[in-house]
Amino acid sequence: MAKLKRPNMTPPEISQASTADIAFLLLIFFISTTVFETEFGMQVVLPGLGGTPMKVKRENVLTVRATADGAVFVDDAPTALPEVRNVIKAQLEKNPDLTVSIETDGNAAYERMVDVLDEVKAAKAQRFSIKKGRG
Amino acid sequence: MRFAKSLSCEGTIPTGSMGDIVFLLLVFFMATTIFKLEEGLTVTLPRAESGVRVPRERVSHIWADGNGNLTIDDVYLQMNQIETIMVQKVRENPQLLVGLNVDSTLPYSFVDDILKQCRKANAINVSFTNDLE
Repeated sequence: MAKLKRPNMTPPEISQASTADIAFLLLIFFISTTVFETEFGMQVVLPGLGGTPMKVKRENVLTVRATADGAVFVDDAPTALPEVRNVIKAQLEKNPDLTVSIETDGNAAYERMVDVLDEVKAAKAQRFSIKKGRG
Repeated sequence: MRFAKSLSCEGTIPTGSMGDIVFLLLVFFMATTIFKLEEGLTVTLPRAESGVRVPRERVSHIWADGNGNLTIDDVYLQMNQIETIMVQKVRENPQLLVGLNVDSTLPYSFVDDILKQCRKANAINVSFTNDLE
């Protein structure tokens, strides 16, 4: 009787030689598709509808008005935009309780309101309000 | 005087740990990648220097282009529909921050109308998205 040869009993293995190649491919995919997108914005908290309006003394209010033609008035005095922050800073030093009221004409470009808000924030004014003015 | 011959050896950089480094980089990119979920509209954002980094995971964007088109989550809508959508979003996430991506040339009254809709929906945390100056 012929003797059967015993089959070679080597355990099956999954080749791991290509793991690094696969990782490299995935890495290239993620590097090429990743866009580090950062968003910047000026955050404000709007008053809720149910709340009672806060009363502020007239002498504690500084009105910054932006008109439809792009002009800016601080308490009715025409002011160049880059000067607005200095005026607010000076007023804040005199009166720390100051509230800045930003009134933007409805026909003014949105950009103008952002410009004024930017100046108010740059002047470190903590209290401010935003509303639509005439127009 | 005779100097001893310096021992010469081939300069090789070990590449054994390359696979580990690649895996670490891969894990970093996989963990930090956020796939863009909305296209939005083509807008020219206003420029400002006081803008702060916005936490993206809290933000829901309202897009308004120069022609007055409005979209939320890439769906075109009318001004009076904002309230309904925002009510739903605030219910899902009470800490919601509304990012206003509004074209800089639009009249302010348009933005004011959006703010009124947000207030009605109790979405009171608003961010005026801007490009840094």
